[in-house]
Amino acid sequence: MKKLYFIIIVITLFILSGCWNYSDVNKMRFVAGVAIDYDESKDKYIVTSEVVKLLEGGQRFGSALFQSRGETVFDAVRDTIMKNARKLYWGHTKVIILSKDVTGKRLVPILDYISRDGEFRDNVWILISDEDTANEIFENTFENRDEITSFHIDDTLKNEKNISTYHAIPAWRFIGTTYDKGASPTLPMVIVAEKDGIKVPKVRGQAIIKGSNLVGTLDETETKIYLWIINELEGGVLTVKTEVSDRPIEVTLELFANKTRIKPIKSGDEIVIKINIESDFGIGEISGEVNVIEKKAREVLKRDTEAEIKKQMENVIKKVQKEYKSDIFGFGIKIKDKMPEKWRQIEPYWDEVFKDLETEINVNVNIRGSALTLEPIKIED
Amino acid sequence: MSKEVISDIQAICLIILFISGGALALPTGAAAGSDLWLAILMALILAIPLYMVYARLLSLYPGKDLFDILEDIFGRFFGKALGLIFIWFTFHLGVLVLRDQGEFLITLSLPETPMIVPIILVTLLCIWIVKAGMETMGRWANLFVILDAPIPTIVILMLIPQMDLSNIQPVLYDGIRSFLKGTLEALVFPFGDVVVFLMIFFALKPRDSKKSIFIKGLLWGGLLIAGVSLAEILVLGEDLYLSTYYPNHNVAGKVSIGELLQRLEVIAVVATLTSFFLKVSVCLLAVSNGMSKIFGFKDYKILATPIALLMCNFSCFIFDSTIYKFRWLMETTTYYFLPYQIILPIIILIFAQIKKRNNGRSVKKENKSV
Repeated sequence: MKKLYFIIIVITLFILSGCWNYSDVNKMRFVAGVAIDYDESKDKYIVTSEVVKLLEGGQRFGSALFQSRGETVFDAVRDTIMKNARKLYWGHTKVIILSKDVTGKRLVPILDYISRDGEFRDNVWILISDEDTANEIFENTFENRDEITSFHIDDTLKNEKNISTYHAIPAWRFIGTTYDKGASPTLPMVIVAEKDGIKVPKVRGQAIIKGSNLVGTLDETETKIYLWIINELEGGVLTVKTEVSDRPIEVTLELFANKTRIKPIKSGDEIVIKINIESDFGIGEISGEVNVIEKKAREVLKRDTEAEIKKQMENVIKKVQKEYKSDIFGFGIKIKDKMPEKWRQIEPYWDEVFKDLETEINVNVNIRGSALTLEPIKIED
Repeated sequence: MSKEVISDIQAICLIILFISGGALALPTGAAAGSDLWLAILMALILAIPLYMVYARLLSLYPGKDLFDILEDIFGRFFGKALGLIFIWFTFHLGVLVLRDQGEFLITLSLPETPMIVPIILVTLLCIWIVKAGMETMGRWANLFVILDAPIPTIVILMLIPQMDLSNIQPVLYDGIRSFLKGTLEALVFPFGDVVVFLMIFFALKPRDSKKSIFIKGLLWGGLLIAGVSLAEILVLGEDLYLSTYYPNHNVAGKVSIGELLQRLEVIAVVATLTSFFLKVSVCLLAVSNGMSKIFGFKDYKILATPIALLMCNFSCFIFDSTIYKFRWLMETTTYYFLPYQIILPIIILIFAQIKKRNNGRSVKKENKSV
C-alpha cells in the first residue's frame, strides 16, 4: 500500500507540476495600445498595434508597430498574430485610439469586442484621434520608437486632475453611458504635437458621441467648463479680467476646490435646470500693481469672477444645446432621479426637450487666500 | 452508524456559505433591474417565515431529517415517493451549481481548458468531504466563513469611490410588477435553496433552537448578498450589471486605490469558488443521505462516489453552451424550483401538525382510558 501511494505521488509530480497551457514571457508580445482605422475603399478595418519591445542593450523598453487588416476587428487582430508569429497578450493594453470615421455604426462592434474578449481589461482608455487617421498617433510620435506612445498617453490621462483640458473615462464606463437615454458620452481627443524637437502625443479636448456617432468636439477651454459643470473639475487656473479703481488688470486664480450641484426644478410646466457652483479660489498671479487683496477690491474680483464663469458656462451649454443637441452633462439622468414621473413623459422626446432646456446658473466664488504674498509687488519709479 | 453531531455555530456557517455560494458570483433578482438590491432585501424578509416553516418541521422531529419525516407522515410508499422528488430537486441543484462553478473558471481565466477538468477536480473534493462526514464539513464551513464573508465586504468598502448614487435612483421607476418578479427570483435563488438543509440537519443537537440557526444564517448570508448586489449596481449601473455574466468578478476588478490596491478579481474568485464547492458538497451529502434512507442502506457514505460521478457527468451534458444555460436559468428556474422550496414544505408542515395533534389527542385518550 505504501508503495502504491509512493507511485501515485511520483506520478502526480509529473502531471500536475505545470500549467495547462503555459506560455513563456519571451514567447509573447505585450500590446501597449491599439489604433483602429477603417479603409472605406476595401471595406476593411485597419488595426495598428503598438507592441512593447526590449531595446538593444536590454536596459530600456521601446516599441514596435504592427499593422493588419480584417473584415472585423477580431479578424484583424488575428491577422496581426500571423504576421507577428508570436502570441499577442492584451492584458496590459492601456489605450485604444479610434479614428473619426470609425465612429458611427462601426463603433458598436469595437466596443462589443472590447467588453466581450476575456483578455482585454475593460478599463482601457478610449480616445479619438483628431488627426486624419488613428495610426498617425503611433506612427508620427517618437519616431525612433524608443518610447512607448501608449504609456505616454496613459500617464497623461492619469494626470487629468492637474490639467483639466480633457476628461478620460475607462471603456466600461463609456459603454455604460451609451446605454443611457438621458446622457451622451464624450471621449478625449489626441493629436500629434511637438515638444523639444520630438513629436509627442498630446491629449486635448473632448469629442461628443451621440448614439455612436461623433457629433462635435469641445476645445480645451470648453472642456474645462464642461468638467466644471459635471463636477469633475479638481484643479486648474482661471484668468479673469477685472477693474479695480478704474485700472483694468488680469488676475489668475487657482482653483482649490469645487462643488457643482445640478438640480432640476419645475417652473410652471417647464423644467429648469439649476446649476449651483461653489468654488474656492486662491489668487495665483496678479498682473499689475493694483492691490486686489484688500477687502473692497476682493469683492469686485469676486463679482467679476462669478460673472466670468457664468458667461463661459452659458456659452458652452448653449453651444452644446444648439449645435450638438446631445446631453453630455447628464441633465436627463438628474431629471429621471428627481422627477421620475415627468421623465416618463418627456423621455421619448428628450432630444427635442434638451435643445430648448432652460438653465439657471448660480456661481458662488470664495477667494480663500493669496498664496505666499500679502500684497502685489510694487515697482517704484 | 455512529451518530454525527454538529454545533449550532457550524450549522449557521454552513447556511451562510450555502446562501452565498453561487449568489456571490451570479446575478440574482435581475428582473427588478436597478431595484434588485431592494428586491433581495424584500426576499430576505419573505424568507424569514419560510425558514420558520423549515425550522418548525425539524423541531417537530428532533434528530430526524426530511426523509424520516416524510415516511412518518405519508407512510412508507408515498413518503419514499415524495422523498425521491426531493432527491431529484437536490441532485439537479447540485448539478447546476457544479456547472456554474466549472463555467465560472473556464469563462474567466482558463478559456482553453476543457470544462470537465475543473468539474472533475471539484467533484473529487466533494466526494472526499462527504466521505469525511458531516462533522468535517461543519468544521470546514466554520473555518472558511472567516475567509469568504469578509472578502466581499472589504471589496465593497474599497469600491466606495467608484459608486454613483444615480445608478439606483429613482427607486421603483420600473414599477412594482418587475420588482415583485425580482423578489420572487431572489427568494428562489439563493434563499429557497436552503430547503436542502432539511435533508441533512439530522446532525443538529436535539436541544439547539432550529429557528435561531436558520434565521441567523439567513440574516448574515442574506445581508452579505444584498450588500454585494447593492455595491455592484452602484458601480456598474443597471445595464452593465445585466449584461455581464459575473458582475461580482467584474466589479472586483474595478477596485483601484492608489497604484497599490488594484484588480482584486483573484481574491473574489477564491471566495466564490470555495462557496461554490460547499454548495455542491451539501447537495451531494443530501442526495447520498436521501438515497441511503430510501433504499435502506446503513451508511450514506458509500453512495457519495457514484452519485458524485453522476452529477459530474450530468453537469457536462445538461446544457450545450453558457448562453443557453443563462437563458434557462433566467426563464425557468424560478417556477421550476418554487414548488420544492416553498409549496411542498408548507404542505408537509400542515400534515405534520395535523398528525402531531392527532397523536397528542390519541395519547391523551389513552391516558384517560387508563
